[in-house]
Amino acid sequence: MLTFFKPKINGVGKIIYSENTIQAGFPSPAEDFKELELDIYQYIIENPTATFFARAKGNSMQGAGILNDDILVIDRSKEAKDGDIVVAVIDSEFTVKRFKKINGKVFLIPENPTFPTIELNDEKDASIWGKVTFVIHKAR
Amino acid sequence: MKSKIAILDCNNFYVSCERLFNPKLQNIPVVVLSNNDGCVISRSNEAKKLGIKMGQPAFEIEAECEKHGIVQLSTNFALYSDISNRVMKIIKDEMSSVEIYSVDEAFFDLSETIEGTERDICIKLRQKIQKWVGIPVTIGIAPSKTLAKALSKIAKKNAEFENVISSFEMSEDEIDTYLEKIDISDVWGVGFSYTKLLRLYGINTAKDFKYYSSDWINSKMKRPGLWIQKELNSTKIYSVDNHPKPKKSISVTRTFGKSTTDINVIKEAISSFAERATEKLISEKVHTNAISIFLHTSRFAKERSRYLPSGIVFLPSYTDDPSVICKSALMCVEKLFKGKYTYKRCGITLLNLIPNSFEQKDFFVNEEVITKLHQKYSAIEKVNKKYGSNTIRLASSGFSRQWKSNQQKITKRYTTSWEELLEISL
Repeated sequence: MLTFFKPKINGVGKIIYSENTIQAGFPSPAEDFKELELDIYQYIIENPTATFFARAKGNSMQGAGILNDDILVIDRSKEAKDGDIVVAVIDSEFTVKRFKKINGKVFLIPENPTFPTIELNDEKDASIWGKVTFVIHKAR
Repeated sequence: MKSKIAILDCNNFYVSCERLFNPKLQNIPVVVLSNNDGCVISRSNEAKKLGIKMGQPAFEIEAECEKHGIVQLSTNFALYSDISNRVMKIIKDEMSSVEIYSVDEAFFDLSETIEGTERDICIKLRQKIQKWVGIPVTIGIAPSKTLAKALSKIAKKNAEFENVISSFEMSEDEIDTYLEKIDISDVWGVGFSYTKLLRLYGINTAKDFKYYSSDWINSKMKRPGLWIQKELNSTKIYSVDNHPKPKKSISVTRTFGKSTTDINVIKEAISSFAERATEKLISEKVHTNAISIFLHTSRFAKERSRYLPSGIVFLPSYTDDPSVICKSALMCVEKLFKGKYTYKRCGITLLNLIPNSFEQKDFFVNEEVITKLHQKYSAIEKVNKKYGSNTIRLASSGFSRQWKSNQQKITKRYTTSWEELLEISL
């Protein structure tokens, strides 16, 4: 039940944006560590307000460099471009696909060839949930 | 400069948060239940159409839910609070003067925008929120907060407005036809007790109130009542970021005589501050729905020893209950506290204060209603036992069951817990 302030020096800690001013006039948390330390949070999360994390389950996206239990960093504010990996909702299910634009049409291509390619148009119950910007893989 | 105020209100907020992470919930009836008394605190449009009322006790809707496949979820406040923060951040980044009113509502000021551009500005804001955070919102625009809020209710029920409604696009007559459709109990500032009084005098709609005798309103409701009337008449009384008589916030803070590294000392302090702050809250006759806590090391400490965190907890509904406030405050302390620092000062602030009569969601009312219903059902049970089980029937077998909210229906804390992330099968 918290509004999270931005972690300053932590590594992968609590996410999301910071409330720089609190209504009652408290001083803002100090934010001047940029020059002193590498902030991985800022490197990975360009737009905290529109960024969400999800965990990948399964192996069909190995070709795209996504392995089981990897964390996907998803930015909903970014427009997908040809070749991007996106999280999509197809027939009410979450899925991860490669976004391709061919001759002005948009396709969602699975890495695993046994799955169908979906064309994004008004007839199909398919939409883009967000663009995958980073994949966090924990080395053994 | 003409006053132009907007109210942004998330549509079926809790349900919308759940739908973001579970697309299967789209287009079907869904309700979210409160934890304590198992009341409905959010409904999808489909659930509304089936007649489920806001505040209805869970046990009462069991039959309907089974019959129509209504999905019931327990409140997942960590999620809603986080999503709310994102929505508010977007509004604050786009608009100059923003007042966060509750977890899913905010006022902002459009007075400095060019005439005629309000709709476009609000449509853009709406689209941004939909894209970035997946939450649908409705925006009402008017010269006053009260009128903006009233119109936003109209927009929610009338799809032709496409979720943005502006009194500046209407004639006075048009505004009145809409005000006629708003029940007096839904007018901002008119609470439960005033509603009863007003109905006695035949004042049943916002329009009735707008045109009623000012002298009478003044005698029964004093200035607050007159102000509501003025605001319905397109006169601005309340500014954005500015609240009337009650204080905007209540703070209790203290600097420690001796700095401490002990979380228990801080918890004890915050706990007593919470109690004192709540006393002030009660004496001012206001409620709060947001609690801010801070713990500070010395501000002059060297950078590595300096830690000045603060956090806000949004509560599910407005309250003046000391135990709720205290519990939330202590939870916040636990989240903020880091062992390696020496703390010099801490404090609590109760925010978003609203007068008791400005009841936004009438859950306070429901406790009374639930007790009465409970008594009624016990009586029914007695009769059935004596005369046979179908003598008095409810809709289903539901009422004999436990009607406390089933917390197993809580979804994951998708945005605040590493262990509870959304999982996508590849």
